[in-house]
Amino acid sequence: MNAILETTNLTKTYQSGASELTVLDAVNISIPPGSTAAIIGPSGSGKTTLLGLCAGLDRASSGIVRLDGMDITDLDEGQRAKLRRESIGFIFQDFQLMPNLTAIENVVIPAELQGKKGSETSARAAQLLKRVGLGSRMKHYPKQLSGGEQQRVAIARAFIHEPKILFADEPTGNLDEESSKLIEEMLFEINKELDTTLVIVTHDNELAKKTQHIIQLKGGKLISG
Amino acid sequence: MAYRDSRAAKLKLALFSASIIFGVAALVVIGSLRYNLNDSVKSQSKSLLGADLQLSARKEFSKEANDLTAQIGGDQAKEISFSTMMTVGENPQPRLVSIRAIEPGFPFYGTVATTPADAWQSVHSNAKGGVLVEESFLLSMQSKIGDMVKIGKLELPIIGTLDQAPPSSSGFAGMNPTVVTSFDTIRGSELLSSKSLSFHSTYFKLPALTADMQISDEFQAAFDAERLRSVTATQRSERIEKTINNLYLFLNLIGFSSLFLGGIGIAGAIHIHISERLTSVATLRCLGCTSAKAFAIYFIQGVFMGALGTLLGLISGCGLIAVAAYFAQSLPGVIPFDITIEPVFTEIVKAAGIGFIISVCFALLPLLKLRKISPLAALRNEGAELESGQKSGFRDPLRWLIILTLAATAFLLAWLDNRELGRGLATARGYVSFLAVTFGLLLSCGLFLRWVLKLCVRPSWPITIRQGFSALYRPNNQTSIFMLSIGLGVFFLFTLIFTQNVLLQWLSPDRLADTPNIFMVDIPPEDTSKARETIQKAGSTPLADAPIIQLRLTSIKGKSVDEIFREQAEQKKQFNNTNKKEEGQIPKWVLRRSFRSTFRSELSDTEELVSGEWIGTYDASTATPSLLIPISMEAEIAANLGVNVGDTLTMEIEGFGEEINLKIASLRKVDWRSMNLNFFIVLPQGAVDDYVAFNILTAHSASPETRAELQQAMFAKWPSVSVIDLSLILKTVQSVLDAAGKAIQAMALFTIITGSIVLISTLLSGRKIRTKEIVLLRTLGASQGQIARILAIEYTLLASIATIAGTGLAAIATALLSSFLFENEAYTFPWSQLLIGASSVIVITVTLGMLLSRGIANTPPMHALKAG
Repeated sequence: MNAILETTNLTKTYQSGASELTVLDAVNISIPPGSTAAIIGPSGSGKTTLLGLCAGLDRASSGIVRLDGMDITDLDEGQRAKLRRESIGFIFQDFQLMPNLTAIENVVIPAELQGKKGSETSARAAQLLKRVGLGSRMKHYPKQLSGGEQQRVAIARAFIHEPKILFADEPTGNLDEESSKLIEEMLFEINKELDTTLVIVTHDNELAKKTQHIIQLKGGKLISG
Repeated sequence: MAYRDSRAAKLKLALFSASIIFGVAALVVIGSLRYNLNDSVKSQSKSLLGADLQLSARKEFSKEANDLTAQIGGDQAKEISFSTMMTVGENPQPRLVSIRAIEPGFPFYGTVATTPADAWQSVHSNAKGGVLVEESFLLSMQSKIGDMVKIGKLELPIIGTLDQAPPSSSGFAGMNPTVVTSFDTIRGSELLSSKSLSFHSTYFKLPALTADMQISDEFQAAFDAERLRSVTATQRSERIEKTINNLYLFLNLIGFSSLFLGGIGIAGAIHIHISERLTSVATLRCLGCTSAKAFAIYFIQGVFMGALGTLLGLISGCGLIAVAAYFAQSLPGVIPFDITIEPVFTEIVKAAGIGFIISVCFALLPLLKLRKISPLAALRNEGAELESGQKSGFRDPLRWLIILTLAATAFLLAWLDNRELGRGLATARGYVSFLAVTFGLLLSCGLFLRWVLKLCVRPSWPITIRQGFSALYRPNNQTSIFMLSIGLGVFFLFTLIFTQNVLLQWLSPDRLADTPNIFMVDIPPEDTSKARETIQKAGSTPLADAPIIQLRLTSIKGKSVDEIFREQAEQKKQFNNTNKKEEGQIPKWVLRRSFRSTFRSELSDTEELVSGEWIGTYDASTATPSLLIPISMEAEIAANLGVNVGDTLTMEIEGFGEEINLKIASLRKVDWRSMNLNFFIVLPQGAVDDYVAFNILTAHSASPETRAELQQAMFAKWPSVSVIDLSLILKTVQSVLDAAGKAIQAMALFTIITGSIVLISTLLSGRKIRTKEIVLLRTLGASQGQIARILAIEYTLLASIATIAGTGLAAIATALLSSFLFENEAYTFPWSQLLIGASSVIVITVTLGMLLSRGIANTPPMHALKAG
C-alpha cells in the first residue's frame, strides 16, 4: 500500500552562531492512509519540527517529504498554503481559535479559505459541532467556552474540509483528565468515520498506544517507527 | 526589574514615548515665541508708536484741541492721513493710496529707513516737496525714483522708497499702498479741503521722566470733551501684547490637544504592553511579589517613557525655535520690529512639567489594572483577566484622582498663561470643554460607525471581508485610539482647510457678480448724476448712491456726551478700586465716532425693521423748532448706546456747526455682510437734505479692464474722488488669510505628527495580536493574497471610520460657519477637497498599516505550533 506520508532522510538544521544545530537528523518515516500514528519523544527531540515539516509549515534543510504521493519539499509558500487548505487539518495544544469569531464561524474558516461558503458549509459546521457536543453553543465566543470545549471546536474545524491527513500537536496537553479522555475519543471516532489519517505529537504514552504506529524520536534521530 | 523587563521592548517603549514629543515641543515653541514677541514689544513700545502719546481725530483739531496739545507740551509732530487716487509717471491708471503727510521730527523713537538713505530728510527739505512710496508699489506701477505722481491737482516727484515706514497705529495700514510726504506739502495744497475723510494726529515726545499713562489719565477728560482718541506707547504695546496673547491661547490649544493626544497614545501603548506582560506579572505574584511592587515595575517604565518623551520634546522644541530664529533673520521686515527668537527657560520648565505630568497620568490609567491582577492569572486566560479589571475601573477612586489631576493640569496651564484666576479658569474651562467635546464626539462617531458596520456584515460575505470587519472588535483592538489619532488630526486639518476655503469663497470677487464692487467716495452732491453718466460711459453699471450727513453725538436722552464721559470716568475709577467689571458703560468709540448717516424714504433690501415705526419722509417746512426728527437706528448700536424707540438724541451736523434733535422712531437689523450701503442712522427724506457733506456711489464693474477705465474716467473729472475697488481689498484680505492659514496649519502639523506617531505605535503594539491571527490563518491554508486582503480591509475600515468621523466633524463646523456667512446665498461646499483629503488620509493610513504589517504576512506558520 502507498504511504500517504513519507519522509526520506529528512533533516533540519539551524545556524546557531558559528555552529550548526541539527534538530532533525535524516528521519525516514512512512504512514499508510487512514491509519493513526503518534510521534513521541522527550522535549527537544524534534517532534514538533517533524510535524511542521510533514505538514508543510516549514522547509527542510535536506531530505524529502512526500504527502499523498506529492513531493512537497520544493513547493513555494503559495503551493504549500493550497496543500494545507485542501488536504491537511490541524489541532493545536492551545486550541488557536479566533477570539473575535463565534464557535461556528471558527469552524467554517478552512472551508471558506477554499472559497466554499453558503448553507451547505454552515450546515456541515453545525453538524460537526453537534457531533462534538456543542450544538447548543454554536454562537458562543471562545472566551465563553472552557478549554475542553474550545478544543472540541478546534476538532470540528479540523474536519470541516475533510482533510486527507490531520496533524494534532499535543491535543490534550492543556486539558484535564476528563476532558482529555473525551477529546481523545472524539478524535479517534471522527477520524475513523471520515477515514482520515491522524498524526499526533504527544508526550502521553497512553495516548500513543492507542495509535497504530508509534514514531519515537530522541535527539532528532528516529529511534523506532 | 523594571529595566530588565523593558529590555526586550526597549525600542517599542521608546516609540511610545515619542507620542508626546511634538506636544511638548509645541508648548515650548508657542510659549517661547509669545515671550519673545511680548518682550520685544515691551522693550520697543515707544518705537512701535514712534512717540510717547498720539492724539487723533477724524477732523482737523479745533482751537480747544490745539490749546490742549500746547498744554501737554513736549516735542510734537502732526500727521494728516487719508485715502485718495494717485497716478504715477506716464501711467494713466490711478491707484487708491493711503497718503501720510507728516511733520519732520517724527518718529521720535525708532527710525524710518529709505532708499536713498537721506530720502526721508529730502521729503521735508525739498522745495518742490516730494513723496516716498513702497518699493513693491513702484514696481507694480512700472515706475522709478524721479517720476512724478499726481494727487488731485498736486504733482510731486518720487524722492525714494520706504524700506521701513514711519510707525502707524492704524489697524488698516497695508490695505492700500502707503505714500509718505511732508505735512506742509499737503497743508499748502487745496487737496485737503476737498477730502471729507481725513485723519488728523499729533504725536508727542514727552519730557524725560514723564510717564505717558500719567499724562493720558490727567488729560483724559479733556480728550473726551474734544473727542480726541488718545494712544500712549504703553497702551499700544499692551494692545499688541493682547493680540499676541489671544493668538497664543488659540495656538496653545492646538499644542495642548497634541500633547493630550500623545498622552492617550501612551495610555493605549501601555495597555497593550501590560496585556502582553500579564502572565509575567501573575507569575511574579505567584513567586511572592506584592501587587505594589509589580505595579512599581511598570510605573517606573511609564515614568521613564514620560521623561524620555518630555526630554526629546524639549530638545525638538528648542531646535524648532532655532529654525524659526534662522528664518526670522533671513527674512528681515517680516516682523515690524526687532525680535530675538530664543528658547525661554520658564517656558521650557512649564512644558517639561506639563508634558511629564500628562504622560505619567496617562500611563497610570492602564497601569492601575495591574494592582488587581491575581496570581491565578498565571494559570488562566490572560485576556479575560485584564478585561475584568477594566470593568471595575470606573469605581476605582485612584482612576478618578488621575482624571482630576489631568483636568487640574489643564487648569494650571491656562492659569500660568493668564496669571489671572478668572480669565485662567475661563480659558481652562474652554480647553477642557473643547477636548472633552472633540474627543467625545470622535469616540461617539467611531462607536456609532462600528455599530453600523456590524449591522452591515453578512455571513454570506467572503471570509477575507468578514475577518477584516471582525478585527474592529477583537480584544485589545485599540479602535478608539485609532479614532483619536487619525480623527483628531483630520478634524483639525480639514476644519482649517474647509474654513479657509469657505472664507476665500466668501471673499471671492466672483461672489460680487451682481453686487457693488466699486465704491466712489467724496462725490460732490451736485455732481451725482454726472458721475452716474460717467460710470455708464466707462462700461460699468451705476448702482446705489447715498448722500452722506456726518453726525456727532452731543447728548443722549437729555444728558450731554461730555457729562456721560465724566460719569463713566468716575465709574471707571470706582471699578478699578473695587476690581469690579465695567458694566453698562457706553463704549468710548461710539460716543466719539462720527456717524456717517444718510436719508431716504424706504428701507433697503438688507435691512429689517425690528421695532417701532419706519418714517420715510419729514416736512421741514412745517416743522417747529421743538419738533424732533424721527430716525431709524441700527439695533446693536442702539443697544451700545442704551437707547430704544422713543428715546431722544442731539447730534451735531459736522461741517455745518448746527445741532439737530432726533427721536428714535424705529430700530433696524442690518445685514452688514452685504456689500450694499449700510448705515447706523437713517434719517427721513426732507429733514437734513441741505446738509449733505458728500455722496457715495456704488457701481458694478465686470472686469479688471472696465474697473481700470472707470478709475481713469473718474480721476480725470474728479481727482479727489476715491474709487475703491473692492476686489483689490478682497485680494489683500485673501492674502492675509492665506498667510494666517499657513501659520495655523503649521501648528496643526504638530497634532498631525503626534497623531501619526500614535498611529504607528498603535499599529506596532497591535502587531502581536495580528501576527497570531494571521499565522493561524496561514497554517489553516490562507494564501498570502487572502492575508493581504484581510489586513487591507481592516486598515481601510479603521482609517475610513476615523477619517469619516474627523471629516464629519470638520464638515459640520464648516457648514455652521458657511450657513452664518452665506445665509440663503448659494455656496459650494468643498466636496472635492473633502473627497481628495479623506481619500488621501485613508490611502496613507492603509499604506502605513500594510508597510508596518509587512513581516506579519511572512511569519512562518510554524509559529502557530511553537507558540503553544
